[in-house]
Amino acid sequence: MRAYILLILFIVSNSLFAQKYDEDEFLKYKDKYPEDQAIFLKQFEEVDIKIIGDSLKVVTTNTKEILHLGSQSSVYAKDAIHSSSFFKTENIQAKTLVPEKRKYKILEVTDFKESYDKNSSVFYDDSKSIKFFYPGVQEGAITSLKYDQKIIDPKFLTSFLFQSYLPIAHSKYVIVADDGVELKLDILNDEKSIVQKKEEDLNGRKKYTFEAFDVPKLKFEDDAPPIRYSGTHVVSLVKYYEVNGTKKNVLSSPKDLYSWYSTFVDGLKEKSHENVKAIVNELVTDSDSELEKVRKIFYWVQNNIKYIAFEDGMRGLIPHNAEYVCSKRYGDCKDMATIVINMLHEAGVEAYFTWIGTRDIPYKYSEYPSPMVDNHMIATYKSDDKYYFLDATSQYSSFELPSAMIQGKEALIALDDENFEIREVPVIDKEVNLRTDSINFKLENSSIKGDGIATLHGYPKVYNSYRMVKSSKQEVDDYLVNILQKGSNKFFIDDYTIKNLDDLDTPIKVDYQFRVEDYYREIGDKIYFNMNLDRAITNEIIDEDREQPREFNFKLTNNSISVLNLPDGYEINRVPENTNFDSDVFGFDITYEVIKDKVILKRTFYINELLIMPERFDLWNEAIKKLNDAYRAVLILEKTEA
Amino acid sequence: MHKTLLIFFALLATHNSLTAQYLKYEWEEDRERYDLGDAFSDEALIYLKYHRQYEYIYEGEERNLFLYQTEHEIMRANNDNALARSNRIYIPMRNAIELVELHARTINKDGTVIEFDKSEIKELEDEETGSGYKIFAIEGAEVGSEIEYYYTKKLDADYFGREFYQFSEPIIKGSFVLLTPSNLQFSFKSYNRLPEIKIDTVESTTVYTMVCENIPALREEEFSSYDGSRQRLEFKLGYNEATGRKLFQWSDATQLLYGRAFLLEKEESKALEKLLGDVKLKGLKTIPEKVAAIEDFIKTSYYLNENAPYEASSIPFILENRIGSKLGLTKLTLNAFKLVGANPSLVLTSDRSEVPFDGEFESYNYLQDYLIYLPEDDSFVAPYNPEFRYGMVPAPFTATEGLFISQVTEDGMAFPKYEIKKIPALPAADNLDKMDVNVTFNEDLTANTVHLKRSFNGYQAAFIKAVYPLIEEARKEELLKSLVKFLAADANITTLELKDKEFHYETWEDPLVIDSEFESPSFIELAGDIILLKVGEMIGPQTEMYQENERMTEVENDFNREYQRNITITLPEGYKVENLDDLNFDEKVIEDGETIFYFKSGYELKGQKLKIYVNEAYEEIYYPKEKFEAFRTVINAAADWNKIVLVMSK
Repeated sequence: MRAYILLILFIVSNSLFAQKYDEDEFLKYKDKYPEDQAIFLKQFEEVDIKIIGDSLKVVTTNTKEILHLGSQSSVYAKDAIHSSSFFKTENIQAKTLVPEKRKYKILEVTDFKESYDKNSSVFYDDSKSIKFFYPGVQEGAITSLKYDQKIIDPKFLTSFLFQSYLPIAHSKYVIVADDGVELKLDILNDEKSIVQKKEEDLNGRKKYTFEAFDVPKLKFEDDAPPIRYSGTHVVSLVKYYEVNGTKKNVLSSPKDLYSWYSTFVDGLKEKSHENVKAIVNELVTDSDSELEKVRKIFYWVQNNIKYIAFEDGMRGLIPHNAEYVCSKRYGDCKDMATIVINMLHEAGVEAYFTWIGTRDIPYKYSEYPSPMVDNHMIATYKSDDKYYFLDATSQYSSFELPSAMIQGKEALIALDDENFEIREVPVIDKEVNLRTDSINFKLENSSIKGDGIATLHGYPKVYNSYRMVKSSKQEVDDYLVNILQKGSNKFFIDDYTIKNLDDLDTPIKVDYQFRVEDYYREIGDKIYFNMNLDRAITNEIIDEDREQPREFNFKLTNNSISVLNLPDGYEINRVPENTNFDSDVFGFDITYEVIKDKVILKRTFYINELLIMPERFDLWNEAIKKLNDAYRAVLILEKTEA
Repeated sequence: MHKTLLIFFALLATHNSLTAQYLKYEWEEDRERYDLGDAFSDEALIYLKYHRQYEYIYEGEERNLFLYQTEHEIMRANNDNALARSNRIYIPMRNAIELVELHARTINKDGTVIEFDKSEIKELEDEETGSGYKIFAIEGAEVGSEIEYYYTKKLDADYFGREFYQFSEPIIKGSFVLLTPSNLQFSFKSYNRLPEIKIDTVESTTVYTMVCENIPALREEEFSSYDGSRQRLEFKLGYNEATGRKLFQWSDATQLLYGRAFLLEKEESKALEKLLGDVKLKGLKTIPEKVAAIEDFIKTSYYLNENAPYEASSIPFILENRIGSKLGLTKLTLNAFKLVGANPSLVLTSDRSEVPFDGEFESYNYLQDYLIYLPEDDSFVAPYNPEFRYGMVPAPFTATEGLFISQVTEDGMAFPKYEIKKIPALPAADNLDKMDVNVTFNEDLTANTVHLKRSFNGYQAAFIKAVYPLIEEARKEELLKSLVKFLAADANITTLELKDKEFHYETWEDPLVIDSEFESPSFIELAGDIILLKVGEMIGPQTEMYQENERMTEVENDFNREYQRNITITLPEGYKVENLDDLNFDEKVIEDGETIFYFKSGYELKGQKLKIYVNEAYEEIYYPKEKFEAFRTVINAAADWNKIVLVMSK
């Protein structure tokens, strides 16, 4: 208790001190951060965990102070606190300290406005942003924010990131927990050892302090995985606590997490519903194999239940029952998993509720058995040793393909009330995710004219389906021009047919007639013709200053064949060389072949990683440059002497 | 007449408006699905019905005027994506007192009807903007379903309205009804070929109606104002018989805005004088000089908060909190200008990329944004857009009209005067993007060294000048690189420099100059002894309009602009270019003897130095749809030039 008072005293005295404006201090920071308009002086989170009665009470106190260094730091005058029914915000104090002579004048923020989260992709979300503006922001001012958050369940304890969008002079994460509370506290991504850790005994409580000084700001880069993949942070969870000699598990192992999760889905699989039953009976027949039943039911849900996400308190964790979902014809991921599992159960097939984190989250259940590991639910069906991860939110995936966003992630599969299994979803091989394009064309007065067949398999099919079923004919026309474009932007599709768009088991096939105008020049008696009409990934050079990995949605193989029919009266003067490049990350192969009056260019390339790590950037760039060299090689045709 | 409107008039006849009860809107309880045959099967989403209804009514003992606003839509979704767009309904609750009625249903292809369960309505609060929504998801909908809903909300009467009747989806039947006690008269204007309003009187209620049928979908087009081209209806309350007064005229707006922006409270005047003491005006002689200094001071000290409380329009509040509303910052700037002897006008207009100002229809909905006009040298100031300085205002506020309010003094009395005048667009020369490209070959003739000097002024420079000081070092680098790498993605940049990184308001109009040198193999294609040089790519990617869709809207440019590129290539020793004539382009559009759009290029060869010029300009914001081909030819000339390959042989 004494320590607690000390802590309060510390805070009070600290804020009293802040009343005096120290110009030297300001100049010191301005000197240190000449490029920045503002820095965080402090970014603190203090977590207090108390045993009260036989449960845990968790409250965090958050402190942020920004020192405004430049005259144009007004962009940092706007601030917001994220709040929800799981993280209840209280005691907000926000103010600006404006230097005036040798003191600070204090301007309190009084106008706090609650708004729904406008950036959320979720249709209805009970979380809120509490928004406000700091008044009087100017060079030398300090904006200060302090608030508490009650975490309604200790299982929701998460993590603390030491970096931010501004440099931080002092970043600190403190947990003070009553004796008997056992925590798991890990520092992640701290290769440079910027975090100092300290443990103290405070008469019946334990204090863990993690702090870092002069932390550089985060670098945001395109196509990079989320910040917790590379940002330095502490992950925290409560393993268990002891009350009167009895040990109470919170999240000591995946078993604890599962025993909590299993209550959310209690009875949802087995309960029989009239309308659901009727649909199942119409859909499957006794003679269907189990796999056929899975296929039919999964596809029915994909087709008929529309994804609309709701996050409303505990409803964010507990699915609706299948009948509800069936009558509404919409649901979120949990609801879609539920109706798949319930329908399969009705059809006599066992499938399992499955929790999983998408690739946005870097953690594993086996390391951190906590709800921070996941953000998604699917259904799993097992046939002998083969697992089918059925994610009906991925509307155009075949039942054999997990959604791209869960590849390589651990799935927590509910086998029954007591038992579960953790299993990794496979990363789908590049051979499955195939895109092909074969064209056959002839030359006509500096333009080319021909036909082509393009196919899309695996994830390329899934991703393109969204756009191809998208909308009006006009939009599909435009989209095809976009994805099939070759030669130049003077590319036209004169006619096309798309096949298998509705058949999730078969690749999409597009037959098309095309022309490219003004593609080549005939000079003298020669035609200079670049056969590389499709220069895919030619611009994918990774900037030499990039720090974070480059992320791809899926591994990929791309094959194309171009067949040029020699114009009458011409012969081949020069054929470009064949080239190839192979590595475990990326490779390509380009070959030219002359068969009678045809020149055939075969090009294939592959991307064999979801994340290209910085140490592979040189290799990647070398390969792209080599590919670009090959793209620049030109075929020469020459008039035959008459 | 429209069938539902007939029913509606029948209902109205039995309805006594003296009872001050709004006319409850009802839909057809049992209706058949629409039969469209094969028509519209290429469309993703179709509005079968699109109805808007406004009912003004006096209520309560005070006889306050309220508005009951009803929206009724029936949509058919022909695919998944259209379904996902139509199955989430947001009811905006800004200014609403209550949601009086809400009904929604889905009629599926097999005729089954699924009624919406009202308990599923959720509320999204938004204190920040004071709007907020009631939202719900449509239940039981499938591809091919007809999704239907209507709602009525009660609001404090609003006297101005705008309804669009054209979307990226077609409307089969659109309708509008406005009911008002007959002492009130509304004015209407239909835009872009929307049918005109018809007037009827039933007992003591005036009924305004409009019906439109088969409104085609409007696609987004390049060089076009989408919203400005859509069919729409504007309306306003124009006359109250009870008082015998015309209402909400420009003269009324002028009085109101004059009071708000020109007239100061005592403490405001004091605060303003104090502020002026902080502006470095010493040594500045002319009014434009002083005005520019004041503008810069205000823009670097106070910032806009669009959702600021009402007090943020008071000068002392702005000075203390450093936050101001649009009105507040305008008032501050305008009155500071007055103090140094300027005679500024307040200008109100609307963003023409949304809906262009119409001086002939006096709706306050057109009075969206503020500018300040200085007659001293015919210049404009955008008081709360920090990226612009004296003489330049956001392009969407130009090439349109505005309401100009000035202060005139007669016999010692100051009073406001208004005029509707044009806010001119800046000439092309003020938005110049200039490139000097110097190209040499490396020894083995497989790559080029390119020296690029790029300079801009005008809108593109303004954007960079505004963001540059705010962004971190890495982003600055990225920004500069992007201005170079647009020529060659694989450019290996050896020098990259932004000249004059400190931007001062005095030199705001000076061009922004980026100097760089890079190496790239990407311009060269290899063909044995022949070098193919993709000189076209040295002007960077160009907008094209090759695809041949029927043009639906008139041409509207964002701003006038000019490009000058000078490319100098040192040809490798012993090589000559075989197709120099390919470099000559000359496309132009002449109106009334003036060249308004052009693309012209040519070359000069001296020894091994090939000098090429490529000039292009757009000197007119608007151009009619009927002459679109001529405009397209100039745009596509640039895209064609972009494809030129020089063949070089020994």
